[in-house]
Amino acid sequence: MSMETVFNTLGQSVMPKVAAAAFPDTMTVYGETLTSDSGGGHRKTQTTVYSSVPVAYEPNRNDRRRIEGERQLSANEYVLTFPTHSAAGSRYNIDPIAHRLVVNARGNEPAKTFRIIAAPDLSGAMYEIICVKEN
Amino acid sequence: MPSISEQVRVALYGKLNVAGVTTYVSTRIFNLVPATSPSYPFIVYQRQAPGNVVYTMSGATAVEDDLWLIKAVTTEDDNSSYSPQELADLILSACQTAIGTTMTLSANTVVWCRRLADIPPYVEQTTDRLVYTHGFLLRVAAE
Repeated sequence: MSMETVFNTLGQSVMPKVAAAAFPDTMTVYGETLTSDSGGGHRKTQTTVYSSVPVAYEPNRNDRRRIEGERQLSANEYVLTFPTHSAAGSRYNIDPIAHRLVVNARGNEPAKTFRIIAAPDLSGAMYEIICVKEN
Repeated sequence: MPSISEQVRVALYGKLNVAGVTTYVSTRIFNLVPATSPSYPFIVYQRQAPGNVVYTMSGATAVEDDLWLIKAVTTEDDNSSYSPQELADLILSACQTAIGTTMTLSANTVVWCRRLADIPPYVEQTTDRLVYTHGFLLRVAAE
């Protein structure tokens, strides 16, 4: 079996099942629909792109507190790990600019919104998305 | 007796914290910098530049003339009906209407209260989003 076949099987068949069974959370991927205003700006409407995506998240780097965008911000960088494909075999196409990841509430844990910094994947087998948790 | 600028700071907050403005920003109106990390959009205002103080022949303060900066801070996620540019402009219009051309101070009298100049909008890239800021300068003179 070629390595190409191995990674395809891993990303498209095996890891979606592993993630569904082993990851503690699910998330919704939100996108945006842009409508132009009359002066070159745009209005943004949020849309659901993918739902019930199995995910695990962990801190990647602690940042410092600072003032950004006229307000105080304490940003933490996270890695969100999830499969590149759904259990049905369709690919999750993540857009690091337009998409936002919302991990669903679990018990006493509230829903958590993550904004994407970069969207790398591991040879098409798993995503390891670098995010900051929204303040 | 509080300084004129301190009286204006308090009076400006009172002028801005009214329904026409809070429709857009709720009570998120701050002097200099928010004490917390509020959601967008919000308003920040501050004393921007002092003008010359005019004295009487006897040396008493006749007129103190200041510029105040009033900024609307928005992001593209704030409102699906308006672009951040449109929303900031609406907020500033509401501010101007709310402030009007008069102001009552606790111990002094405002003799001039008008919008002086526009601050061109600019965009700031923060860690996780784009933030739009647009403002204007308000000239307030008091005796």
